[in-house]
Amino acid sequence: MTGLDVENVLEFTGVSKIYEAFALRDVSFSVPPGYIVGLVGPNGAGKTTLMRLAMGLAAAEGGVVRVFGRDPRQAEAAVRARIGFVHDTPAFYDYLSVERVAAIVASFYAAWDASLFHHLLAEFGVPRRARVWSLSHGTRTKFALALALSHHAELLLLDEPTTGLDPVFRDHLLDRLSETIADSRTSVLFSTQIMGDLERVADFIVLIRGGRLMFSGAKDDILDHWAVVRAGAELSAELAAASPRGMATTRRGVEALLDDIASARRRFGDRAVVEKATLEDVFLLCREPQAAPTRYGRETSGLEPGSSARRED
Amino acid sequence: MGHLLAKDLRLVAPYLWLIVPAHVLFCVQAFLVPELDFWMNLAVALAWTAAIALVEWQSDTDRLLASLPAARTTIVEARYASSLAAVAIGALLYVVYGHAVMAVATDRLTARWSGTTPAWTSADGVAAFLLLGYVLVVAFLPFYFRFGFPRGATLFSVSAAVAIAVATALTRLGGRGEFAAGPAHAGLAPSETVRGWLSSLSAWLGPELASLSVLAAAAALGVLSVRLSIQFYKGRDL
Repeated sequence: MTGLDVENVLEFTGVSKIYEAFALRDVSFSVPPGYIVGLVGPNGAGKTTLMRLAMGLAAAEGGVVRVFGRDPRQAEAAVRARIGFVHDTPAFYDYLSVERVAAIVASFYAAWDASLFHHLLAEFGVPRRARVWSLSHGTRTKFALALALSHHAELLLLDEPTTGLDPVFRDHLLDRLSETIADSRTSVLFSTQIMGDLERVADFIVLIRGGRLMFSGAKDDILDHWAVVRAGAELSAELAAASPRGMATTRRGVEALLDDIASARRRFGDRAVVEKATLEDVFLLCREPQAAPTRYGRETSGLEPGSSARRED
Repeated sequence: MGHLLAKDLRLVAPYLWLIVPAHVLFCVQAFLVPELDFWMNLAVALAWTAAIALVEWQSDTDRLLASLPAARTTIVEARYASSLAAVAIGALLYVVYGHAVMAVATDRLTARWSGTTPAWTSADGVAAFLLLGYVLVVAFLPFYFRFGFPRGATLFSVSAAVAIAVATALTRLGGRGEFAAGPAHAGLAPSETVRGWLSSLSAWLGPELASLSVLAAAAALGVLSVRLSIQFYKGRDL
């Protein structure tokens, strides 16, 4: 497994970005080499802003963004040559054909692999001679993915790439992403709102909400150790005192998200339903910002996904 | 830089055939209102610059371009290079088509151009074409890189209109001055004003010094414009 003492491919440290109607505040997480990190959050959470900051398309107002150890606003060309990027709404020169747009993009990459690109077009079912304007949203995304994958990028930044794709292709794409990182030199940061995608391929999960980091850590830690406690309203105060990662009132009572299922079972097992949390539960319930970011990657002593040993809470 | 210039060429390639009918139209125009011929040729040369900016705005491909491995400084420099190349090619076509039409209809064209001479026939006419094209490009691009296409083009147009109005008012208030062109050069032939201005400058400073002065001023304006554009574009979130 890739790993020890290898620099993180992408690092956000205390990053802030202020817009008129939205602010990203003090976000810190990293993408270690050879892993897939899922960036999840509701609409307007700041996922696209983080992607744009990583690409150097926007400048952070606070904190530090490092891609391959460099500032993407300073080392623009060198950093982007190693990134494959898919925008949330891929934009191309619509009046040109797929082939002509590809020729424009290809000329910028020294490592462009034309045979891989044509293979991917055929695999994804993108017509080479079609004008881009005639492609459906899903096919545009497939085209963008083919472009992003055809220059042997070391970091793939995919902004909601599975939105608008049919389930069969989505499945196929997730398989391909898993294959892509198998070389241990490619990393993926992909944002999505489809929890099933994350459960299938992500090694790490980053949850942001309202521009704040709610959680970042190993997916398997959540699935193995986190719990959802469903109880009557009478347990509400007691659950609130148990430092939940989030709580919600339901028609039947309350639901609380706790990060230690063993402790949750000991304390509430006889009075409430205690179940392993799913990513969907985390997405819906986790509303408390992480006190200190989970560290993984360069600072840690191991990178085995699912191993809590590599975490330094 | 080469990739970016090739990209611009690829973007306009599907429409390059328009050059032929456009210049045929201008050749007809040269017989109708000769004074407009200069401006229409200049407009079409500048249209190639605007077309690339328009295409990138309309397709929302500013982000695509900024996501490719090219430094923003290089993107700006390449846009200046392709825009000025378009002006230079426009000037060449203007001269070539002008001479071609003159060759086939000398008498009729000479009759239409009585009292003045077509700009394509003289060095100062071609210099006026290049100078105006250059000034418009270097004045427009900082607006484009600061505000994007629609807002940049609007603000540039408004600023240009205000600048022309102020300059006209000042000229009229202060008399036509040392570099003034004669009455025959006014009206629909503002290119003649530039030609007259260049000729007057040449007479005043001598041809060499006048040429050097114009080149130095143009270079200073160009450097300032490029620096502003780079600063604006680097600071922009895309």
